[in-house]
Order: sequence, then C-alpha cells, then structure tokens
Amino acid sequence: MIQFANVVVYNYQYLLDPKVAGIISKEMEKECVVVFDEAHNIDNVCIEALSVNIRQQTLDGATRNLSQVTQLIEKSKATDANRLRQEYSRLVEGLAQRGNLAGTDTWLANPALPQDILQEAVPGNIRRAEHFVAFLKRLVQYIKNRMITEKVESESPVSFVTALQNQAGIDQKSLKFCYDRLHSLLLTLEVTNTDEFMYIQTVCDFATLVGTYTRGFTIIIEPYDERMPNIPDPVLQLSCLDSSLAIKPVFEKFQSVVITSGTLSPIDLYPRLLNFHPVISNSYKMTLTRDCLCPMVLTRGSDQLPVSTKFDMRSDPGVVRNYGRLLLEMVTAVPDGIVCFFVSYSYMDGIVNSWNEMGILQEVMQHKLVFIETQDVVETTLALDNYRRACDCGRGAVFFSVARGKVAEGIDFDRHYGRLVIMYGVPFQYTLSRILRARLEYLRETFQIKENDFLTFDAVRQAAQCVGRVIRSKADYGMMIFADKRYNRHDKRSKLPGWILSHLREAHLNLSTDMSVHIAREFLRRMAQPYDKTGKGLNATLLSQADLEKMEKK
Amino acid sequence: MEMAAVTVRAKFLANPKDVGVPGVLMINVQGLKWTPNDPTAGTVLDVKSSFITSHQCSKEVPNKKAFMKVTTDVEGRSYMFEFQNYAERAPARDALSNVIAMNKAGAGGSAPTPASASTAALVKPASSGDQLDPAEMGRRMKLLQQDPDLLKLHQQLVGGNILSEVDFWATRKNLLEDEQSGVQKQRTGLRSAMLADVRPLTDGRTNKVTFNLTPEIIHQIFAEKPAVHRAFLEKVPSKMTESAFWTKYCRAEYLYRTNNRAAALAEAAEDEDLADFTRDDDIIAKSVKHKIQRVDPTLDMAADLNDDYLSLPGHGVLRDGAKESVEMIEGGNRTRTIIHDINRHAAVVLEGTPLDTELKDTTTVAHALERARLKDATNEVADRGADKRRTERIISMTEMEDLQGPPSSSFVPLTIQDPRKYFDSQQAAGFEEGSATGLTSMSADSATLLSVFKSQLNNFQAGRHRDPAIAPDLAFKILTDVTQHIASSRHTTGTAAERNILDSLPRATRDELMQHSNTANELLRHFWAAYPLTNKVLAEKATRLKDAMAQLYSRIQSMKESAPADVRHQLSRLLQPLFQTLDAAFSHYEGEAAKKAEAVKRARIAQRPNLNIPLDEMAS
Repeated sequence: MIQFANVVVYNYQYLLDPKVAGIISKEMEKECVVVFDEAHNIDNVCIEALSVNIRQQTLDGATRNLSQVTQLIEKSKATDANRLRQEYSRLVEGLAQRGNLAGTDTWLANPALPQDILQEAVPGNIRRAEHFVAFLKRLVQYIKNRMITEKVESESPVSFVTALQNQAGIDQKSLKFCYDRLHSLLLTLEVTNTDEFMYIQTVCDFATLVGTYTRGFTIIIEPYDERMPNIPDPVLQLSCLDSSLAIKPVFEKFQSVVITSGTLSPIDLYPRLLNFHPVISNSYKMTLTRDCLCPMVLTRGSDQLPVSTKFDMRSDPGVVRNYGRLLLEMVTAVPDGIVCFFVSYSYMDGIVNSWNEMGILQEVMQHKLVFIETQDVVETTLALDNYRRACDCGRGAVFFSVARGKVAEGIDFDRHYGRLVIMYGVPFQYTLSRILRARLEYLRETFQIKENDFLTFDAVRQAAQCVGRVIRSKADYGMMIFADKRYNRHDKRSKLPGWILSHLREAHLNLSTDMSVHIAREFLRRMAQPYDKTGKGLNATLLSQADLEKMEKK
Repeated sequence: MEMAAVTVRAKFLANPKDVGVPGVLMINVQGLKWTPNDPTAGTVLDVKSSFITSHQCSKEVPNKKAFMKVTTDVEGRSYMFEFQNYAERAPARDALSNVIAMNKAGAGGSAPTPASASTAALVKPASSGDQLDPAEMGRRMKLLQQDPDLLKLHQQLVGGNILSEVDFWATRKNLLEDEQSGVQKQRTGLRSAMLADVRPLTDGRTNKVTFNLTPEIIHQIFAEKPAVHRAFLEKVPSKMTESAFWTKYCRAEYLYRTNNRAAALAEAAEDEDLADFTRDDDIIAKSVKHKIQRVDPTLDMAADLNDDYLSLPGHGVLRDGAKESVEMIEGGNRTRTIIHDINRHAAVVLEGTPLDTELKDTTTVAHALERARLKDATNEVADRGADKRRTERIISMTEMEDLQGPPSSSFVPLTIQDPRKYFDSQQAAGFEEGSATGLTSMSADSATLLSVFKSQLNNFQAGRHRDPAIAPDLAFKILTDVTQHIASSRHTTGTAAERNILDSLPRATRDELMQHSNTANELLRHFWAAYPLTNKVLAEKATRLKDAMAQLYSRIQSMKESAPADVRHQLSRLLQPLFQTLDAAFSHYEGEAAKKAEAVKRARIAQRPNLNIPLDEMAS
C-alpha cells in the first residue's frame, strides 16, 4: 500500500524503531520527504525505541516460550526434519542471503545492526535450533540470577557481556545474532501467533542490543522503584542514552528530513541532541490579528507568599492553599473551560485530596464541574468527553491534567474548551532516577550539554507543551498562567518558545493572585469585543498569496 | 367589583369525620355554590357571599388532606370541604378571601350590597369568558412569589381595591405566557455540589458521628453509585428496614472516609451487605464500555492506546525520571479514590436528569431513578443518529475557524405560514395595480413598474408631510430642552454624571422611590387605557384610579419633603417627570370631567324640550 500512497501518516515508532521499521517502512524511497511533526519529544522517542526492560514476568514468560519452542522443534523434527536442515544451511551463508528476511534496504530494516554482521555467517553455536534454545535458556537463567539483588546495579554493556562470557559462556558475537536467529527460527517453525512469543523476543532484543553496542547504552538493575521502595519489583533496564542512534538511519536514508514543532525551544539544542547538522534552522514568528495570547507568570499567592512545586515547598499547606485560591478566583472570572496541569500524578493526587479536605474543591464546583485525568485511559477519555460537553452546554468545567501525560501530548483545549491554562509548578523529571542520571552524564561527556541546562530545557518544553494546548487558531484566544516562582528566573523563562515569549510582557511577570485576576478580567473583556478579521497587511487572519510573497522577500 | 369565578373539585363533609361527598365547588362574587357529582348523594349548597364571615384552612403538611372550613353568620353554620390537594385548594381559598374582603368593604362603604351585585353583573360576561383554572392561578401565584416588586404592586393595587385581578394581569399576559412556556421548555439541571459526599458531623463530646441524608442527597447517591441503588432495590424493605440500610451505608462511608481501609475490608468480609458498598462498581464498568463507543472521536485516547506499542511490556524504558509507576493501574482491582468519585459525580451531573416526581421519600426516589435509567437505555438503543452526529463532530472539530474565508452574508429565511394565501393576495394586488394603470402585472416591464412605484412613493411622502406625527417646531423644542437638561446636569454634577443619580440616594429612599414610580406607572397605564370612558364601569374605574393617583401624589410629595436635605434636590429632579405625568393625567381627567359636566348641562337643557336622548350619550 505504501508504494501507492502520496502521503503516509503514522507514528514515529514505525520509522524509528528498528523492529517495526523493517516491516513497515522498508518500501519508502530515498526521495521521500520525512516530516517529524510535534517533534519536541523526538529525543525521548528515539531513546525509547532502542531501550528494553526486562521484569520478572518477562523472564517467566520467556522460560515458558522456550519450552513451547522446544516442543515445536520436536514436533517439526518428527514430521519435517528437512526444513530445519535447510534453515541451517541458509544460516551458514549469512543473514543477507537469507531468502526469508532480506530486502534491498536491509540496513533500514535493521538499523540496530552494523552492515558487516549482515554478511557474516551466523556463529556455529546457535545455528542448530536446539542449540539456540539451550543458548537462550542459559541467557535467561543468567539474567534471572542477576536480578536477584538487593541493591541497585549499574554497568556498561561491555562489562555485562564480559561477565556473561565468564559466567555463562555466552559470547558477544552470538548475542548479536539473537534477534535474527529467533526470527528465522519462528519462521521456520511456522509460528503465526508471534504475540505469544513476545517475552522471548524481548530477551532477544536485549541480547542483540547488548551484543551490538558498546557505547551509548547502560544497563541498570533496580530491585524496586525509588519512589516506592516498599514494593519489590525488580527490573533490568537496558537504556539507550544517545538519541542520535535511532534517528541516524533516517537521516542517512532520506534526502530531506524536517523536524518541526511549536515548542522546539531552544532550537539549537536539538541538532546537538540528535547529532546532525541542519541545513536550515529557523524559528518563525506568529502573525496574529490581535493580542489573543496572554501569558502570565504568577509567583505569589494572595497572601504574597511565594508559590512553587520545589521539593521543599510542594507539601507546604500554605502553597497548596494558595494554588487552590488561584483556581477559585479564576473559575469565578473565566468563562467556559479551564485546564490545570500538575507536575505529576502523585502530586495531583495529593493536591486533589488536600483541596477536597480544605473545601476548595467544593467551592470550585459551585462554579464549574471538575474532571480529572487518571492513569486509566478509558476513564480519562470519558472525563474528557464529559468535559467538552460541559463546556458546550455552558455549565463550564475545569480539567485537571498532568504534564507529560497523554492529555498534555494529544488533546487540544482550543476555543471555549480552554480559555485558561494554569501550569502548577515546573514539570522537572524525577532527578534521582538512575537512568536520567546516566543519560545526563552521557550528555555531558559526549555532547557537552550541562545537566541543569538539559533538565531545565526538558521541563520548560513540557510546560510550553501544556500551555500551548489552549490556542489553535488566530480566531481563538486564551490565557496561560505559569504558577511557580521559578518561572520568573531568566534561565527558565528564556527557554520558552518565541511565540509565548513575545507576548509575555514585563508587566505580567512576578504577579500575585489578585493581580493576575485583574489582568485576566481585563484580557477577557478586550477579547470579547468584535474585531476586524481582515486586519492590516500581515496582521490579517487569512493571509493572501501576495502577503506570503511579501513575507518571503523580507 | 370584578372577580373571577373559581371552580374546583371538592368533597363536602357533613361533619369532620365524614368521608365526604364528591362534587364541584364554585366560588364567585355572589357566593359559593357546591353541587354533588351524583345528584342523589346530597343537596346543592348555595351560600350568598354576604353571609360568609370567615374561612379556615388546614396546614399544608405533605400526605395530609387539604381541608377548608367556611363559616357563615346564618345561625353560625359552617361547612367543611376537602380538596384533592393543596394546589387545588389555593385558588378557592384566594377567591373566598376576596369575597370576604369585598363583603367587608361593602359593609364599611356607603354602597350597599346591591351595588356590588350590579358591578358583578356587569363584569360577569367577561369573567365567565376566561374562567380561571387552577393552573393559571398557580402561575400567577408563582410569578408573584418570584418577583417581590410585582407582589408589592399587586398588594397595593389589587389588595387596595384600586384595580381588579383581571385588569392587573391583562397587562402582564406576556409574563404569564413566558411562565407557562417556560414550564414546558426548560428543565433545570442538577446542582454541581457534591451532595453524595456526605460529611459526618461530630458533636465533639462523645464518639458519636451523625450523617444527615435528605431525599436529594439520596437521589445523588443512587445516581452516582449504582451498586448502592441496586442493593437498595433488592434489600429494602424485604430484607432489612430502610434505616438499617442507611446505617450500614453510613458506616461504610465513615470507614472509607477515615482512611480505615483495612477495617472497611474486614467488616465487608463479615457482612455481605456492607460489601456492596465497598466493592468495585461493576455496573459502572459495564456502562463505561458502552459509553466509550460514543465519545467524541477526536479525543478518543482509548482507541489509539495500543497504537504506540511502547505500552506493551518489554519495550522502552520502564522507569525513568519522566515516568511514574504504573502500579496503580496494574494492581488489578481499582481502588476507589476521590478522583474517581469526582469524575463520576461530574458525569452524573452532566447527564443530569432530575426526577420528574417530587423528592419525597427514598423508595419513590429509588424507583423513579430505575425507571429513568431504563428509559435512557431504550433511548440509546433507538438512537440511530449517533453515527451521523459523530461525523458532524469530526468535521466541526477539524475545521479551523481562521482558515475559512469571510462568511456568506447571513440572512433569515422568510417563513410564510400559508403560502397559498400569501401568493394569492400578492397576485390579486398585482392585478389591481395592473388594472389601475391599464397594464396586467404579467406584461408589466420593470421600467413601468419602477415609474409606478416612484409615483406612489412621491404620494406617500407628500402624505406624510401634510400630517406629521409631531409638529416639527415642537419636536425641536423638546429635543433642545432634553439636551439642555442633560448638559446642565452634567455641568452641575461634573464627572459624577456618569454615575446613576439613583445610586447616590440612600437605600431606603431609593427603594421607596422605585416602588412609587412602579405604582405610578401601573396606575397611569390603566388610567389612560380606561379612556375614552364609553361606559359607566370605565368611568368608575377612572375615578378610582384618579383617587389612587392623588393619594400617591401626596405620598410622594411627603416623601420628598421628609427626605434628608442633601438628597432633596436630586430627588426632586428625579421626581419631576413623575409629577409631570401625573399632572397630565389629572388635567386630562379634569378636562374630561368638565367636558362631561358641560355635556350633562347641555343635555339637561336639551332634555327639557325632548326626553328621548339615549343614556349612552350621557355617559360619554
């Protein structure tokens, strides 16, 4: 189908994840123009695409899968031994010559594999099916043993492979071939429901990645989540640290690749993260018919005490109450929909409970209905649907959501669905996370990006992403409140995208709750006036051909 | 004195313990008349209005019968009536109090009973034409309750016998109609407050906590927690009493509220009824499956949940700084949190179908809710337009407002109720026009039509010139006056002119002033409507109104004089137009009266030679 289509729209993963890209995107031609839209999170997607996590249930499942495979092999031997023998001889010839997997663009089909292994013959110790199964059993057993640990362990792929060689007799070269060897085996055994063999596939993915890359990855074994130390949940994570690895094949294969988003800011950081040299890098201004954006930075509550979600302040009841008063003042002043973003689910949960106990939530409900995003997608969808209906019918509603959540990424709160967005706090990542720390270290060593710069960049882009939900067109209008004293600092604020910064006036910085309510009322009154859509020249809502040409000349 | 006749169903009770004989009670100015439905069951009761001395009504207590006792001064006899409900009794009671009030006025005034009888006779055809039904009466009462200003006016004018009930409402037909149509059109939704979230009250001394449940709260509990509703329908009253049920519920709530999860679960294990409240709500889960298919496709996140296969186990990073643990969802049995409660509550409010029955007791609430739910379910099945609405929704969501061109000029389509009539009349007019100009409308070309139109237009303008609505010089004078007045007030009050002068007055004065002006306007409206005085009733009415206005005039005057010195000037300026209009009315009345006197005098002169002048002319 893809060959006949003019435009193909799909998820990033279909192009970036080697496991899927090989199946779906191999027919794309060199001349195709690849556009990554909403690419502000592209580095994270790249990292996810090349990362694998193994949990206890993965290993249990893998063991089950292996015994199933053994049974299949036995059956196959009894009925059609010839097939296995044929596979063996194919594997001797090398992967590239295999009839069942090869395509012309093999390297795209498998960007995780360097070119040379494709021509190499599969190592002798895993060519025979039963040998390969035994090999995998040893691997699974080894990982199982490694996961029984009391403390967090972190090591590089090189040392992991060395340890594997010494303790389980598994060599690096065989590891490299695991993914394709399994694939070939499953094909040979005519397994159709590959979903059932998901667990062993995960283990093989892991093995291939560990065997292939010596740099840009880290292996972290955690016995529990640091945020919940009392729940044992051991996990082995092979985390990619270098987002340029996954996107590299895309840059190499396609002539033109466009990376675009409303919140690519600061724009010069992305080429460094993805390790490429942009031919054109430009940040465009927005032409607006009228000042339909009103960003504000709120640093103090109505009692003039600072508000923040900084770790030492976030549980302070004064801050919680001030945040609540802010919402309460706003629901009385702003019509239709209001969206509130919190830094995390756990923080939102805490806030909702405290507001409920303080009676703030009940007061808010006298003005607008309240809907809350949960981690259950179905419930969130229904809440969103109800939220929209509440806005449609004029009752008005407030939606509580979470930065980095699904709603913040994909749902628009344009027009009356969102007249105001309140961003409570700066959505920093959980900085004590091992993987984040490993990544920060890698960024510092490899790309000379400072830890704090990256963290701030990441938090501010998330915040900008959240508040950007409020406006979708020039005919729309909306307010944005950054409710944290830290936004007043230049290093945070300057990382906001240009289209927000250009509307962030000096007078709208360092506000307290009452001042922001005043500004909000003023803004809403101004926006309620009729305006001339045709505007003057470049301010027109709908630009004409001539206008565009004029812009180009400039 | 006009008064609408009231007719209601009522049982007559010979003595208070009697079952009563069903019949129809009619009350009008002449008195009350009760006729039994079954002519053989009892005799017709007929009490003249002049005999009725007082009436008593039983208190309005739900589930109690509506009684009314009428006492007469004939041997101290009294009659007991029982009405179907309080709503039906209200008009009868009002009518009867009117009758009694009229009696008193008749006895106190110089006019004896025959006079009121004669007025009643005069009015009778009108009032029998629009006989008041209880619904109409109820609407009036409701309007009066809602609008305190109107109530005051009503008390002053109707209560003070200046205006009749019918006259008073005749000018307010639109209000009544709004009220009536409002009943049909708009349903009020549910309130947003979380009533189901009952908070226990502690008395602070003992360990006792109290929960207060009202039918409204219970309705919300049932709506938000279908499991509780189901349990109630199943168990009450067959297995346990209602109070036992709610005690159990409150217990479960209390344990949940105090975060005593373990205790709640322990009790639930022992008591299966309690388990119903703590258990996950399977009914909600079922309805969720159903609803998710109907959500707005542009925000259906559940649909593309597995699109990014990163949610499959093994892919991507499980734990890093940006992600939060998924234990909460993977735990299997979702625990009830305040967040779920809030979402559920908001959804219920939004669906909001308030029950059509009154919230009286819990059993009726439970059953009514069940009925409503069944109805919804059947409606949903029958709802075939859903798919179409979905597509419409997608289109409206994907459309960008600012990328559309300028909208085509908006117009209101002409709706002709009876097209045939309309076009026939048009054609007829065309033929007439055609025959007048010697042309048929079919063959008339645009040039001739234009010339015809032009000539008509010229005639028309000429006509206007000859007879302007107001003399131009007079209009100009008034305009100048007004302008000067505004300018001078601007000048004297300076920037404060932007403010309403009314706001600067003390509150009590302002209220009084407003009330007086309302009364004056009402009186004036009726006064002017009474002219020309074609019959005696109207003349009487005009006199009555004039007297009332005179009283009002003096009241306003005294108010002005008693006002504090600092506001007196403002007040007099405000009152000036009011006085002017009242003065105009008085002078008109006097002028008319003088004319009438003149006419009477002339008539007397004319009477001498000839006595055949009809009475009507005299009145006019």
